[in-house]
Amino acid sequence: MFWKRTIPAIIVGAVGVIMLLSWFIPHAPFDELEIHATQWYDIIASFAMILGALNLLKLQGRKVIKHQKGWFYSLAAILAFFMTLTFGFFIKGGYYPVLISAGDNPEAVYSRISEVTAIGVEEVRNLYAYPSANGERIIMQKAVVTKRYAQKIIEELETLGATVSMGELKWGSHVQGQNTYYRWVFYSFFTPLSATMFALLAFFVASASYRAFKIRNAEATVLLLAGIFIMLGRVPLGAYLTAWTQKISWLSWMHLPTIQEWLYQYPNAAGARAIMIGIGLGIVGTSLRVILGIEKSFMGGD
Amino acid sequence: MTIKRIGWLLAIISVSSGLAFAELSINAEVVHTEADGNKVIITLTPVPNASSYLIQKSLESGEWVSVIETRDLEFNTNIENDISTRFKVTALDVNRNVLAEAVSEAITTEAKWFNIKRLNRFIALILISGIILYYITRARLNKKIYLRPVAGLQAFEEAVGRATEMGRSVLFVPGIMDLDQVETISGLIILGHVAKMTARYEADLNVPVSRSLVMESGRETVQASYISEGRPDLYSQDMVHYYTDDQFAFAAAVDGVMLREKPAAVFLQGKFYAESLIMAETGNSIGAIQIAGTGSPSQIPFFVTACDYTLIGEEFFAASAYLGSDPKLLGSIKGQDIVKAILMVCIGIGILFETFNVHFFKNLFLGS
Repeated sequence: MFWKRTIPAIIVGAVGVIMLLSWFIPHAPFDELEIHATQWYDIIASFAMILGALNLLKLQGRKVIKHQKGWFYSLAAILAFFMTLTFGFFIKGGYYPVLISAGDNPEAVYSRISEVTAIGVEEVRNLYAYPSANGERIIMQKAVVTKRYAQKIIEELETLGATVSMGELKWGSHVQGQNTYYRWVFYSFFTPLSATMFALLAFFVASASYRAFKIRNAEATVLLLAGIFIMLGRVPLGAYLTAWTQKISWLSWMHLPTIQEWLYQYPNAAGARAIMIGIGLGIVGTSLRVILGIEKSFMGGD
Repeated sequence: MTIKRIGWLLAIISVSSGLAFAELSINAEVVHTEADGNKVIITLTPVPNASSYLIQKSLESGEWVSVIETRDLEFNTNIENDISTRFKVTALDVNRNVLAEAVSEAITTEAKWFNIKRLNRFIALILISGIILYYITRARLNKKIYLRPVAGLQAFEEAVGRATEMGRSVLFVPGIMDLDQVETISGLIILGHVAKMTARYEADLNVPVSRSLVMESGRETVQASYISEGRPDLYSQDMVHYYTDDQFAFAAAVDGVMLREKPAAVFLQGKFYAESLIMAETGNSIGAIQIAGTGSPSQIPFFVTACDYTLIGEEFFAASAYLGSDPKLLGSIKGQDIVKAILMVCIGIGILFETFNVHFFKNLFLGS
């Protein structure tokens, strides 16, 4: 109990007080404590990631082995996990030909480069007519460029009289670099899937708004009216419908964009700030309880 | 009197003769102390026909490096702490000819042990902490503290009971952020209380998390709750399990759990972003009783719309005190409420002063 509850509580309290005071002390070593603490946190979190990955594999693997409901989704998760791991650590792609010299038949070379880079011959001529001392990298319009494919292009260009060498992205830079397996996985699988989930939000907002705006009581009616004013005031239609109010000075406040701006800047801001003050105090209170060791349940204490 | 007259005469002569007597001088003054270097104000005397002034500063090696070329006679810059620095100013005409040169005295700055510009917030911190600590002490001395009932918190037991009756699980999501967020800590604290209820009612508990550290901490919390309820046999490590760090992938995973397992009670307690509505609407579609709580103001409207109960702002942070029976926790909530009342009075006074264009009260709360 002492090692598992008391010691962590003491560490939390001491670190909490030091970090709190360091915000007021612009003197070494306090001025850089936050940076060091964040780095330590990142290091610890990185190691903990292994635990998370193992847990994921254990649970999803068990589902596949026991053929539990939806086991094929778990299989997809496991395969995707290992595929990304392989492309991150073992197979990278990212090869490219480096044009040293266009040789005696430059037009034929530029024409072939134009085909593989999917840019016009004229542009290729401008780009590669005066290769730099180290040659000019040829970026091919393929999701992944393997060593074999890059070699094939090199041989083709050499047949045309060019002098070409093989280049490749280094490990590490392959995560950001073009034509690698990792980038292919990220942009062809992960990004569209994430975007799909995010896009669902639009439909959920519609269904949630429908429920919220149903007139059930006085508060819901106020909400509905405010919603209508905000929505109409933010689109050109609202300004168009109430444009006539601008010609009569004492009615100008009825212009919908003006009403929506007022609703947004005053009642909405007042409510939001009230909540923010409550949240701020709640954070101070929770932090104090944690620092003083009154609240230990997140560490497994009572 | 005579001396004063002579002074005036000299001044008039110097002005009429195009400031022929003015010599370039430089004054460097430390005006502000910060951790990352001290702010220095440089003041120059004007030189006739000068079109710009090149300012350089000395390095430790003795070299001069350019700081700025300016037409202004006063500007500020930062220098390294604890290093003796001198400034050199060169007045240049339009053809870049040197008109005059001057070097300042060496100045050394040092970091302070207290940032005076944050004094008001330090005092506020002491006051707020003091009030909260006072009420914690009062609570320890068995002074009775009343807290108004919060519908969302009273519904916790009802939600877990409903799940038990229906023979379905309880789903608890402690947000999508890591342990460095106080909302996550608060979510885990609430998880402890929910886990006690599931242990009491023998209901299944499912806690998907998006951070490995939260998984480890969540396991400790749930295990301690099951032990404290005398049901360690019901606890399994797999109750708290990790999916992914990615926001929308995690939302997809949680939605999948909801649609496959159809939990009867869903608790969304922690830090959420755009995925809040995706989860809450999916939970709504399966007919689960949903209780949300977050410290993210922008997500509160989504939760209010899609969930049965929502702990708004401070209610979320106060949940632990309400759900538990520790008087010290109740005392801290009472302290928070007192601070809130003081702030309301301050806001009222501030509005009054600002209405009459008196700004000293507002300025008390400003800082860097």
